[in-house]
Amino acid sequence: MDYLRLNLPGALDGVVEMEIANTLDEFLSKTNAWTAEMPLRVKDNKQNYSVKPAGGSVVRLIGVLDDNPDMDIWVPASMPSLDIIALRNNPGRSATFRAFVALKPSPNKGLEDIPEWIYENHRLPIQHGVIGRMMSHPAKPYSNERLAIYNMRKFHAMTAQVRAEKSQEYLYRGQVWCYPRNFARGTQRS
Amino acid sequence: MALETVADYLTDARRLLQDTVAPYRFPDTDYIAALNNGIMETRRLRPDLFMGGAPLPSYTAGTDVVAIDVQYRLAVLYFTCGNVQLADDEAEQDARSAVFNTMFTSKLIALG
Repeated sequence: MDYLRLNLPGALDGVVEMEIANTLDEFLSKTNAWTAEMPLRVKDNKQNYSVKPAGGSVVRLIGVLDDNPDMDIWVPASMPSLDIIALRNNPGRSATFRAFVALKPSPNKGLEDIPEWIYENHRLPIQHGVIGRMMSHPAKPYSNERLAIYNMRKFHAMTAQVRAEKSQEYLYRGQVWCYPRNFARGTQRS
Repeated sequence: MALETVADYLTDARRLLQDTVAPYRFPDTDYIAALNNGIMETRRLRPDLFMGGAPLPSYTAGTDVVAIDVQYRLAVLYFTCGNVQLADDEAEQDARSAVFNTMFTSKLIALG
């Protein structure tokens, strides 16, 4: 907050907090950076299940995993509304699946249920997003069109980077495909 | 803290207008009316200072606490001075009143 006050002379804390919530909403909606795993107790002949995460509100479904050690596969599922998981096929038995969802701040709770690690891990994009949004307000002491554009560009670039890295679960060179080790010969020259 | 209550605004406004010795040029009611006008004008220029949907405050007594963020209290004081001075029909007072009103506006919407 001190850094934001430093960059936004004359800004009210309440307005800054409002823009932090808006920035987190956009950042988390685009990146899937905040995910939650929830048990999904399925029954035979029932395909729709309501879900409610402990904190935040659901942005999208990432997947449903059948926990049966013999199966251990992603189950075809979708989310017709943001509180219902619909399995494409009848589960055919009683079991506990695992549902993975992406989250964003709840509109009615604001910043209350945001985990601290989101601020710690994504401090810079959040700062740029808040400053950019604040500076685009009309007729305020901190209004600055040029810096608003600069900060929003930084925010969008960093958001895209986090989205790409999260899609590979933060694995370095996660997209690189390679032959299994047994295919490799001594060196690249030989 | 300075500029907490209506009485604080009255004291400071009288100091800036050199109206500190009785009988006063302007009665307290004029200053309070100007302060209430300042609240209305602040609401027009900076609605974010009144977020939350509460009705716009209006003050009547010297002990009332003026609900304005500390960063913008000086702006409201300047408006109060300028608005009170508008009642004075001497030419040089008009210029001074305009200066107060300009300072009010620039403090609310610009870095200055």
